[in-house]
Amino acid sequence: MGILINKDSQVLVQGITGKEGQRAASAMRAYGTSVVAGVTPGKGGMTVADAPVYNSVKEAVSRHTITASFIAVPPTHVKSASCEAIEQKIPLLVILTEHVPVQDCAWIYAKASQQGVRVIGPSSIGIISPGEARIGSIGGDQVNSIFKSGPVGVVSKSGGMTSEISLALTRSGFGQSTAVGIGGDQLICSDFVDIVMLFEEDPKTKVVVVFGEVGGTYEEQLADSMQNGKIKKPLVALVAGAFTEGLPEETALGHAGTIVQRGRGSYKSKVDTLTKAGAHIAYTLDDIVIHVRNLCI
Amino acid sequence: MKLYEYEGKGLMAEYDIQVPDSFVVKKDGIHTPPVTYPKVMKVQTHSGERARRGLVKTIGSSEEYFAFLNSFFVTDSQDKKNTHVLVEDFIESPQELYLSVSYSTETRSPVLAFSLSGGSNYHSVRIASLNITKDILDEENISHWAPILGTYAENQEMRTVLSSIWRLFLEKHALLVEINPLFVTKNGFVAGDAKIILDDERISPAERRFITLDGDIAILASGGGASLLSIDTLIRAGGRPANYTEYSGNPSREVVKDITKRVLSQEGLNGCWVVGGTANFTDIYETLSGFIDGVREMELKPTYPIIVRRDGPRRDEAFALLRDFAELENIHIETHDNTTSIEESAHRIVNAAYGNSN
Repeated sequence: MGILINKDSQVLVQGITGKEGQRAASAMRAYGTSVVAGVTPGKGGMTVADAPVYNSVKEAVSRHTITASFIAVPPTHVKSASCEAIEQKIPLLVILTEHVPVQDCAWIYAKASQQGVRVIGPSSIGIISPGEARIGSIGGDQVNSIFKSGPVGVVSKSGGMTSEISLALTRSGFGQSTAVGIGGDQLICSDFVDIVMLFEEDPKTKVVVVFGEVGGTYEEQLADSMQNGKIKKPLVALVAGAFTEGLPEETALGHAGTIVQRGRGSYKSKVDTLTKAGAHIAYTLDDIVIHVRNLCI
Repeated sequence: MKLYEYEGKGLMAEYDIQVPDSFVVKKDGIHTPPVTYPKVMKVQTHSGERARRGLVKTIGSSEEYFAFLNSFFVTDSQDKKNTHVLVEDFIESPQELYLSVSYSTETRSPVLAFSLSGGSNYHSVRIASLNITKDILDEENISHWAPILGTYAENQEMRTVLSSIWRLFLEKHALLVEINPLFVTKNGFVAGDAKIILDDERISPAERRFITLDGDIAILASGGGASLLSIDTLIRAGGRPANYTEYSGNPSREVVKDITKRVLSQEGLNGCWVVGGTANFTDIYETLSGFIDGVREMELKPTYPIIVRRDGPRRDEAFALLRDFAELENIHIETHDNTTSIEESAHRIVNAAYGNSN
């Protein structure tokens, strides 16, 4: 099973004629995931990776059933592309693009929430349910040596670490139910709580592995959900950025640390709250494997 | 991007928020004293707690004006790098409020923060989340912030200030607009200070982060998460990183060269660690060529060990290039692919840099 995507996913690629869009479309096809159409305004009529290209999401949706849209357009176009997809009620959006202005992201999150659309990203490397489907080019050409099907749910703020963690798990015999890159922006449209709650409902997932980083309050919010019993499955967490303890708040890699974070956001805050909530803390990839091994026995 | 107070106040004035009358004195400029007193002199700096550090002073005469400038402009302290002083009218105000708009990662929306106890020892701040798709004076948003504004909820002038802050926040793509203190005067609300941070993604998306740390092992790391983890790992292995910098997203050879030169120009280096995970698409040959270009352009060649831990497309070619370069220039360069873990690689650079047994 896994979460979010499966063999029946029908994917639209917005920005399909660009370099990233093409790469992602080909990678999805190569993995057996159905890319039914693409959108690039002005390039309607072309074909990319065997998928017909349309000028608008509306047109694409009128001709095809679309269950997810992968968005690979430039940063200043992400808001309009996302709003187009939300308006057409595509249930899942995955935004690859980095450097999306925070305000645009806030807007996308608000609109998507209003319409019941789930958005992953921005700065998402993608989603993969090994053996079932992949959205984006996560894993590249090495996808079959990095990812294999199994009981571990992986969710990471870092695209690269999604693969590194999965590779370490695969090499040790522990496959993944689904691996999700949620991005490390200030505003994350699907955060740790959002994704882990899905893992919580997924029968295939037995253990969850989380890669977090200083900045924002998403790890603390995950700890809160574990404390109040919303999340019960065993969880391993690796938080990066210990070295930022002691740096001035705004120099540390978090974002404009303000009064509203109420003391949360630092490395220490994340590790402390997660530890108190019963998470198993890892400091290296090896630690992750050891914890998972112990939890799977 | 953080704005200085005087820049922030300039912006607020454009949005019809009252600010004290003022002028800016530059270190290398003309220091004409003010005509009327008292005035408040404020060193323009990004660091906080200015009052406590003597960087804000109310003055009553031209003697005090010159004394402040002289002590400030010849000081040996770290504030010497600051070059601007704001000279403002002194504002009589019985009450100081706190008011800001920023983003909350808890609600993933803009939030309004307010307190009746503003100023340097501000406290009791209350927070209301806002709907970004609606105006701040829309019914829905009013229902969110009215409860935290207490007696000021119905105040028309306060509503005007809120509206101005909101417009500034959105139109300028701010991450933070903070007024602390917001003076309550008989002529209305006046911004006593202005802290505005603008979204870098809009201003300089290509700028790479560089943080100076206190150590002697230079770092060139790729990938956001992997780079943070690498520095943590280095420290756990006993290493002292000199800096944090990362590059990701397939940067050009030129960009890597420039970052390399910046990193290797740091003083007192005993090692250099070029570290990253396994790239999916970044051409390792290109980026490591950029690294070599950077080393080549250094006036002083590195005499310390360089360890490269990286993997991805064209790795073998890249490593061969590095080995040839090392031999030619007589520089100690070691290469590790992804069969060497980041931890092992960290131990290797620590041993090599600090001369422990190999």
